[in-house]
Amino acid sequence: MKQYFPSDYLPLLVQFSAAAAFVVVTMIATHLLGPKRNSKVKDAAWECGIEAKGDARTPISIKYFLTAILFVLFDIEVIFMYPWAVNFKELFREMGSVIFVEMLLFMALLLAGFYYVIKKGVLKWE
Amino acid sequence: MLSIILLSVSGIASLFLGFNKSRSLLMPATLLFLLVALAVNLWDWNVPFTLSSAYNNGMMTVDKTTIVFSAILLVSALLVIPFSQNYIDRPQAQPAEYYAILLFALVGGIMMTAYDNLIMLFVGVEILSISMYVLAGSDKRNLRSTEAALKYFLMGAFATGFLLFGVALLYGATMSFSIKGIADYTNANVGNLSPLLYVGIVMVLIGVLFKVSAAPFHFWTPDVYEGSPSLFTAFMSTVVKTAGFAALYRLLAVSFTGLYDYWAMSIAVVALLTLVVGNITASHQHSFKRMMAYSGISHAGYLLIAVTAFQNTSQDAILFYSLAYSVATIAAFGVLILVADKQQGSEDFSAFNGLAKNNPFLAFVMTLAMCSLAGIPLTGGFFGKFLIFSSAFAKGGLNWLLIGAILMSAVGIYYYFKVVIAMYIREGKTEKIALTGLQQAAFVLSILLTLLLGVVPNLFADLV
Amino acid sequence: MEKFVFFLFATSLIGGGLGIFLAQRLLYKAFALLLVLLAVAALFVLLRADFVAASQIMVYVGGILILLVFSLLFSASTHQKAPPLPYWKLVAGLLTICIGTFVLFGIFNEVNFQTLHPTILPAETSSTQPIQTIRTIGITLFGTQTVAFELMGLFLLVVLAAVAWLLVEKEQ
Repeated sequence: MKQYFPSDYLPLLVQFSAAAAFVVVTMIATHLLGPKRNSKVKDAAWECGIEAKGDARTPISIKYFLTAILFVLFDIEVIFMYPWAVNFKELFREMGSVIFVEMLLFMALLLAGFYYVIKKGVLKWE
Repeated sequence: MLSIILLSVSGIASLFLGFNKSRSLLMPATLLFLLVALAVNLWDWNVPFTLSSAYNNGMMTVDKTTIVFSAILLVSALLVIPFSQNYIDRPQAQPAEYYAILLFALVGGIMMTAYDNLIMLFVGVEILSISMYVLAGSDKRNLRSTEAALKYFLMGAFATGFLLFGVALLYGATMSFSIKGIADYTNANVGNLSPLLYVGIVMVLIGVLFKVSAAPFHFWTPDVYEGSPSLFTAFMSTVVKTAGFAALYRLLAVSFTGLYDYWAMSIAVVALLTLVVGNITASHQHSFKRMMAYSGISHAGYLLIAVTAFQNTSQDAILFYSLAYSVATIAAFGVLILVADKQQGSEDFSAFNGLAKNNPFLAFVMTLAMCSLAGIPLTGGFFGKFLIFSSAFAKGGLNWLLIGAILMSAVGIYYYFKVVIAMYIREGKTEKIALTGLQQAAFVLSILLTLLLGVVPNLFADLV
Repeated sequence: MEKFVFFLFATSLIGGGLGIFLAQRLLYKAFALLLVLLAVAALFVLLRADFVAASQIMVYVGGILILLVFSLLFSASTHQKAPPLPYWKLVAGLLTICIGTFVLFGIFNEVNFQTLHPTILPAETSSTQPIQTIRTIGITLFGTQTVAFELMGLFLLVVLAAVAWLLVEKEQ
C-alpha cells in the first residue's frame, strides 16, 4: 500500500480504544463485583511467612539497560530498512543492484559494531 | 570524500585492533591512518576524485577550500595523538576506543567542512558531537570527567534540537535541503520571503554557534573543557571549533549572501559579547586549563569578526586563524599534559612555577604558543588577527567591533603571560620531563608552523 | 470527523504534557510521556506523515520510553518525589512559554501555509487526494542522499561502540 488516507488508520484507533476500554472496564468491574473484606493481615504482601521488609524496587543490573540501548539502536536500523524494502522494486529498476549494496554496506557498518559488542563481552551474563 | 571513507574504515580497524593483546601498535597505526587520510585528502587538490562528484548527488563538495579545512583538522589530530602516551599508559585506559572515536569524530568534522546539503551538515555535527560527548567522559572513574560528559551531552542535545528545527524551517520555507537550492530560492524571491526562513536562519545559527562556544551559548564550555581529560580538551577546542567555523561560514557564504543585512548585525553583537565574556573571565582564572577554555571562547569571538566582515578575504582569514590557533592550542595543551602529569594532576598556573629551569624546551614551546594566542608579532597568531582585522576594516562600519577586539586582545596578553611569568620568574621545582620522540616531533612541528605562519604568512595566505 | 479526532488527540497531548509537569512521581511522569508520544504519533497520521508516525511509535514508544523506564528502575527511586521547582525557574519557564507562543502566533498569522508550496500541500483537496510519503522518502534517501544514509550507519556504529565501551567494566 503506497497511498493512504488518514482514515485508513481508523481501525487502529478502534482497536486501541477497545484495548484501553477493556482495561478500564475490567478494573472497574472487579472493583464493583468482587466481595470486599479488608483486614490488616489480609492486605499484607505475604499473608503468612516472613514479614515483608524494604522496598520491592531495588536497583537492577546495568546489563538490562545496555540491552535496551542495543534494542533501540537496532530499532532505528529497522526504521531505515522500511522505506528501502517498500520501494525496492522501483529503486532496483532505476539504479540496479547498487541499491542492494547500499543496504549491505549500512548493515555491515552496524554488524561491525555488533561484532565489537559481542567480542567486548557486553552480552555475557554472569 | 575518499578521506571520509578511509577514516571510517580505519576507525573500525582501530576498534578491532584493540582486541590485540599488545597496545604498542595502536598509536603508530592511528598516526599512519591519519597520514594516509591527509595524503588522500591533499591528493584531491588538482583533480577531485571522480566518485565524489559523480556519486554523491550534491551532498558534498570537494574543492580547495574544503581540502584545506579538512587538512587543518587532520593536522590537528596528528599533533594531538602523540600526547596521548601518558593517558593510554594508565592501566584502566582503553586506547583502541579512544583512537577509533577520534577517527570517527574527524569524519564528522570533514563532513561539516564539505557539506552541500543540510542533512549532511546535521549528520556531520552529530557524529562529531557524539564522539566528543563520549571522549569527554572517557575517564570513567573521574567524577569531573563524567560530569563534563553529561553536561556537554544535555546542552549539546538541546542545541542539536535547535539546529534540526532550524533546518526543518529552512526546508519549509525554501523546499530545499541543498544549500545552493536555498540560495537559488532566496535570490529568486527577494522581498517575498516567508518568516519561516528568518526564524530558520536564527535557529540554525544558534545550533552552530553553540558548537563553536560563542557567547551567550558558551556556558557549557568551561566546565566541559576543564572536566574532560586534557588530551580530548585539546582535540575539542581545535577540531570542533575549526569544523564549526567552516560549517558556519559555508552556510552563510553559499546560502545567505543575499540576506547579509539580516544576520550580520546579530553575528557582530555575538562576536563582541564573546570577546568580552571570554577575555574578561579568562583573566580571573586560577586554573590554566579553565583559562584555556575561556581563551577558546574568546578566539571564537575573533573568528566571528571575520564572519561578520564577509569579505573575499574573510575565508582566508578564517583558515589562517584556525590553523594558527589550533597549532598553538595543541602545543599549550601538550605542555600542560606533560606538566600536570608530573605535578599530581594539578592544572593551575602554579603547576608551571619554575618550569624553565629544568625544562627549557617545554617552557619555550609554551611561551611561543602563548605569544601566538596573544597575537604577538613573528608568530602565526599575529598575522591571523591582522588578516581578520583588516578584512573587517575593509568592510567598513565595523570600527566599534574592531576597537572592542583590540582592547580585548590587550586583556589577552595579560592572562597569556601569567603562565610565562610563572615559568620563568616564579620559584618552583619541576624535575626534568622526558619526552617521547613523537612528542618532540609534534612540538618541533608546532614551533615550525607557528613561526612559519608568523614570518612568511604569504606562504599560506596565497594557498587558497 | 477529522476535526473531532484532531481535537481528541490535541487534548490528550496537552493533558499528557501537563501530566509530565504536574505528576509527583517519576514513574507517573513516564506514563504521561507515553500519552504524549502516542498523541503526537496520531497527529502525524492526521498530517499525512505516516512514516514519521510509524517511526515515532517504534522508536520513541517502543524504544526510548522503555529505556527511560529502565533507567528509573536502576535509580530505585520511583517513590521519590521530584523536588519542587524553584520560583525563578518557574518564572523563567512561563516567560519562555509566553515568548514562544508569541513567536509562533506571529508566524502562523504571517505565513499562509497553503500557498507556500502548492505542490506539497494541494490546498483544499488534500483530504481527498492520497499522498505517498514512504515512496518519496525511499526514493530520496536511497536515490540521491545515499551518502547521508551510509553516514547515518556510521553514526549508529559510533553510538553502539561508545555505549558498549562506556557502560561495561574493563575485562580483566
